[in-house]
Amino acid sequence: MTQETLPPPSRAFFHPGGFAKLDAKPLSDAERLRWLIGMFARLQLRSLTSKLTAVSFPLGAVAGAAVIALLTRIPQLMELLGDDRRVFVTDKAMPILFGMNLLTAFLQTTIWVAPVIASDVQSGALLLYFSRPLRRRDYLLARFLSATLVTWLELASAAVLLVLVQIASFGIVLDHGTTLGGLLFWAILAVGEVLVSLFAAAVISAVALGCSSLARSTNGAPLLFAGLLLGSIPLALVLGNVGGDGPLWQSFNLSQGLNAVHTLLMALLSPQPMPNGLVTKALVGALIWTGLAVGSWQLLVRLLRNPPMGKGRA
Amino acid sequence: MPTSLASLTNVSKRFGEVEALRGVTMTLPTGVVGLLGPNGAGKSTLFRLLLGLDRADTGEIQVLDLPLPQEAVRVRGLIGYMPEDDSLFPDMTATEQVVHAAQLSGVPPMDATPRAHQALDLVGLTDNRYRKASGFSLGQRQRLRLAMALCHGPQLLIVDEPTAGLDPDGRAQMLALLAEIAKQGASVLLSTHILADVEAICGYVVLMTRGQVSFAGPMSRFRASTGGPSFQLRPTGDVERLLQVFKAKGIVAAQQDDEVMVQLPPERVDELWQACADAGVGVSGLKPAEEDMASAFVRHVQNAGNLDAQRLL
Repeated sequence: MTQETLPPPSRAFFHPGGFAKLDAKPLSDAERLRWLIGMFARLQLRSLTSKLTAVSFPLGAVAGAAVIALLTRIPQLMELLGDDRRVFVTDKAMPILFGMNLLTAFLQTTIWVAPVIASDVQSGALLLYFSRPLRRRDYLLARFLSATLVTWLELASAAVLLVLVQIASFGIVLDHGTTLGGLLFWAILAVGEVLVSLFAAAVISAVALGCSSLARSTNGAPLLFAGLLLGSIPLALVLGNVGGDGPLWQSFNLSQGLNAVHTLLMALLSPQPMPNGLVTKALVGALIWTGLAVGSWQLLVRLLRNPPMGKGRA
Repeated sequence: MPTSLASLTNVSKRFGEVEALRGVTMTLPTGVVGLLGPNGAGKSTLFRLLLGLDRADTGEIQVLDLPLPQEAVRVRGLIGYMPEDDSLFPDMTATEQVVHAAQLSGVPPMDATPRAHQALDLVGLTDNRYRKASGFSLGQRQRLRLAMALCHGPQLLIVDEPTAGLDPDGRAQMLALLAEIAKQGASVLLSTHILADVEAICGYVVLMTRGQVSFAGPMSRFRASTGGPSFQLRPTGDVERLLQVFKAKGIVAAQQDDEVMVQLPPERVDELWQACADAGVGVSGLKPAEEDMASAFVRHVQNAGNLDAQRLL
């Protein structure tokens, strides 16, 4: 076969004067990063099961809201609550929802976030990304921010939904305070929920993504993340037995440690006295999660400095 | 228009103990350039350097007149890369794959979809555009990867083993596509083990061995440089042993299917018989043959001291 005897292409695809010259203005770096975050987020929510998982967050809140709405329709129960409505909000409704959401968030990130970078390595997509005009840090940032965004929106939307339903059910003034005081309480609660959700979403996403740098397979990374979460429970028990049964060691249970940060917010708003050691537990929990997130980030940066691409990547 | 496709000056790259590239200096002209070389010759390392995925330890690199690594991101926007291995975005249809690739290369979302359809049409995947790529045949996957490399209208198309694993018809179609793309103004850098592919579409050849450039020049010069008669020998017996004997006697020889190409002037044909006798190999056929690309390739590689060349053919 020579150049002269090659078969002609079946159709004329090219424009005269050159194939597909790009006339439009290319995306800027910032625009591409924004697009990449949106695209990764859409990919995360692509399958039916991931959509169902996402919906389970506000569904939990809706279920909680329905219970609260029902409670407020029963005069006897409202009488029982009396002046303790604020305590009910800060010590019962919101912590139960956050704890429930946290478990869903762990499940969601285990399935949908932990394996994504490992999947890009296994499928060879990493090479496709990096052979494009894309910086490695932008890829990593987009992966992290998209995972954080999805988890945060799910956590925060459920919390804000429950706050709104409680305002509608109980009214702005919960006890015998002023309207301004009531507004301030709900505002701090809503903003606090949004911020705590953001912290939780960011650290969970970073740690989940980081699992791909240690276990570079789509099965291994989620297992590692789940193992880290579950393994922290007996670790906290052992540390508690060795070091004394204090709140400090409970923070090593990763679920409890992150929950403590939320409980601290509730304790700040609750009229009841703050439980002993809660601040320590919340601070240590936040510190452990932040440490894990920073460590995971470092591992990912190291992985992408010399990423497994091309032949023999698996 | 860039003055050259790529220009390398004294480029070296080392991975631990392995010296992947050793003081490579060459200027690749625009057009279709074929990159030949046995495994471990440094072709993949060269591609990674040209794409700005790795940095050279020493030396200077310019791609499309832009210096690397300073302009790596800009260069990657001008290049379309079709990797050798089975790289695809997971769980996407063909159209989604190409749209995704186009947008990653900076094509605005409004333009990405029409361009993706145009590229898929070009590579002959129109009827399969909404199918998931995971269900594609090898040939379809190759064509899809080519569409992904083309969708943003690159000035330079780097294709790594584009015909590997394709049947003769698929191979001819792929080469025809590459030739047409080059005709439309894009430069093509083609890495392949299949010498006939290079012969079919490349105007310029680079032969790499052990991290060095053994030959770089126009195809016509490559053909001319290979002159000298050769024999086409059909042995019966241990061919490996025969090749070893030829090598020990300093005779250039390479296996091609069930024959052995031997470069030897006719007056030295006795040496050929002696070598067969020494190897204990019979001969069922012997005829003079003009040296083709394959034996030229072997000779260049062996001159550079690479013994693996024979296994490539």
